[in-house]
Order: sequence, then C-alpha cells, then structure tokens
Amino acid sequence: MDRNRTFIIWITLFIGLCLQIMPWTASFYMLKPHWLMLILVYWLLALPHRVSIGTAFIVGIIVDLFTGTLLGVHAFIFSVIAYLAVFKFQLVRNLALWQQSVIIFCLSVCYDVLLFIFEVSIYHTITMSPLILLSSLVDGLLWTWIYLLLRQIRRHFDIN
Amino acid sequence: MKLLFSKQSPLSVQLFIALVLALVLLGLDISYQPFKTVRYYLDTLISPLYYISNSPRVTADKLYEMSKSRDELAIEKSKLTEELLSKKSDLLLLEHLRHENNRLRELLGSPLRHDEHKMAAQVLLADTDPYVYQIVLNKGKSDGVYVGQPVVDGKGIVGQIYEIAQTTSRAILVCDYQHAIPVQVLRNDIAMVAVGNGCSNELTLDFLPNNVDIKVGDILVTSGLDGRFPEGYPVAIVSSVKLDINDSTPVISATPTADLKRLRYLLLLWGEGEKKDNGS
Repeated sequence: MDRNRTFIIWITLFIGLCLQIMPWTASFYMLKPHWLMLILVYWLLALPHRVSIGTAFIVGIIVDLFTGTLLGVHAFIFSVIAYLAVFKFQLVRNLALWQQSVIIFCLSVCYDVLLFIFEVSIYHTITMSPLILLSSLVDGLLWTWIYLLLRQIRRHFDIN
Repeated sequence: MKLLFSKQSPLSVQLFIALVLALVLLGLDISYQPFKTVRYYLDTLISPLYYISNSPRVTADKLYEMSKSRDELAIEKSKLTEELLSKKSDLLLLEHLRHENNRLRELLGSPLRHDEHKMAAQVLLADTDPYVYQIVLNKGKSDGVYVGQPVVDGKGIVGQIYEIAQTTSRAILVCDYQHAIPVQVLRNDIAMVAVGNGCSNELTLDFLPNNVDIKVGDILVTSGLDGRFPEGYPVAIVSSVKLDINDSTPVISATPTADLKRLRYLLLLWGEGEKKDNGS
C-alpha cells in the first residue's frame, strides 16, 4: 500500500514532464510555465521525507535526456532548486498562498538564470530577452492552482 | 542512491553530492567520447516516452481525419490527383534533362550524380528548449539513420541528425546557433556558409568574398562541399543585404525556405556511400 502511494508522486511528476515537453506555440513561448518544477517543488514542500534532492536530481537527468541538453545541466538546476525549496520548508509551508507565489516566482527566475548561464557558457552566442520573466510570473500565478490541486490529490490518496 | 540521499545526511551534503555528480556528468558528456554509448542507451531507454507524450496530438489528428465528410475527402482526392498529374509531367521532362546532364558530365569527365535513398520520418517532439532548436524523429539506428545525415522537407533543407538512439533520433535545425551549412548562390555559384542565428532570427552568411554579387531574392542552395549535404537542395532566400559602415563588409541575412516552425513529416536522405554501408 505504501508503495502505491509514492507511485502517485511519480505519476504526477510524469504528467508534469509530459506538460513540460508538450509542443507550445512559438508566439507565446515566453509564457510557458515550468510545470515540472512547480510539481516537484510542491512535493518537496509537502513531503520532504519522501521527495528529496536525489529525486530532483533524477528528474533533472530525465529532463536533460528529453530536451537534448548536455547531461547534467537540468540535474544541476533541479538540485539547486530543490535545495532552496527544502532549506526552509517549514517556514514556506506556513506562509500564505500569495507569499508562497512570490517565493515560487523567485525560484523560477533562479531556474531561468541558471539555465541561461549554462547555455551561454556552452554555446557562447546566446542573447537573453527580459521576457523570460513573464514565464516566471505565470509560474507564480499558477502556483496557487497547482498547490490546491496537488493538495487535493495528496489528501485523496492519503500520501504522507 | 538510498545511502547517499538518506534522511540522515544533512541537506548541504546532499546538495554538494548532487552538484558534484551533475558536474561530473557534464564533463563526461562534453569531453569523454565513450560516454556517447551510455547516452545512446539512456536515450533508447526513454524513447517510449516520446510516443506517449506525442499521443494526444496523434489522437487529435485521427479525430480530425474521422470528422471529415465524404464530400471533403472526394474534393481532397481530386485535388491530389491533379497535383500528382502535374508533378508527373514535370518528372517526364526532368528525366530527359537528367540523361542529358549525365551525358554532358561524362563528356566533361566529372563524376555522375546519383539518386539518394529517401525515407519518410515523423516529428515526435519539437520546441522544448528556448535556446536549443532540435527535433526528435521516429526513425533511429535500427532504420539505418546515422549522425550527420541530412533532413529535408518539401521546401528545402531542415537540418541534420545530431544524436541517435535505437528507434528515435534527434536532429538539429539549420537555424540553431550551433549549426552552419555551406551554400552557394543558385544564380552565380558563389560559395559561402550560412550560420544559424536562432529560429526567431534569420540565417547570417559568413565567409563571403570581398566583392560579392548578391541581391535580395537570390536563392541559396547546398554546395555539397561539406560531403554531408547533397548538392543543389534549396536552403534559404536572401532577405536583406546591408553594408557594415565601419569596414564596408556586406552583412547578408537569409530566410530558410523550409517551414521550420511547423514540422510534421520529413525526409531523411542517404547519400551513395552510406547507402552501401547500411545495406538499405
């Protein structure tokens, strides 16, 4: 039974992965949220004893394989994000939802900046547009919904 | 894994181990060649997921096909038959021209041009990363796909194969920052290199002669000098010719002819040499 429940976590992460790699219209590319990061951060905050930096690392490796980036880029970024999220999880967990959104916004910016640094140091010739902040904003807004949805799922399947 | 990331070890230690592992993997992937086989197996391992993630689109397509009425299909069919007929008549003429061309080439003593072997492939995944312009195709090593293989669509060169797995492969587009392709102007055979500049921008032309005869609207085709892309496929159309004010070198950009934003069905080309290797 216990095994089944952690299985749910992996299913949500898998759905997140599918959403992440889903084709997205090029003209609205800047608005694409980081689905996988949001879902991962939720589980990190809710069940830090089940989902840890190790999980984030593995998820990062899978994302690397999917996006075709060098192996380790996303693993690195996800580990850092996981650390930042778990570092003060008890504090974050007790904040109001809008305050959590602000924190998610910061994490998302962190994600984009780290990714940008990696890409620049590997490919050299990339320019960043400030529009990527928009996707972080979307992340922040989406967090409320993801949070409530995943909490429903967690309570329904009684995962702890 | 369980030991390294167990609850007992403090967070900072976990983070440290994860980061070191990630950096080691990065280093291996960049500079250690045998690691490519590991990556090949990992890519093969996850390739079923591509089909799963692609399934919503496939079912949507199927539903769309099913919702077409009989009349619509009949109209579509007559249109396609008409098109096929006109293409066939073009081909008749082309066959004659090819014979003539081969005879002329024989007279000149230059090597004959051979037909390439082609295979249709479907795009499983596109636009995943805002900085990397790659697509995943549903043909892999088992179909004889090799790294560096040219990929074209109905309008021109799309890119080349970059990584292969057992049943899928990853192609890099001509507009990627890492990609460059040798081209020549169709009108006067001036050779140059078209460098990718991100898919939202246009290709820039590099390695130009000082006094270049090129104007807006010129068609650029592959020159075949790289030994990868066969000669004569259209790549781009010159869209602007400007002069750098500082040192009066021309700055030329070109729009790719292939519709790189909407890729669905593509063709993989096998040149003469590779065809024998794969026995296909």
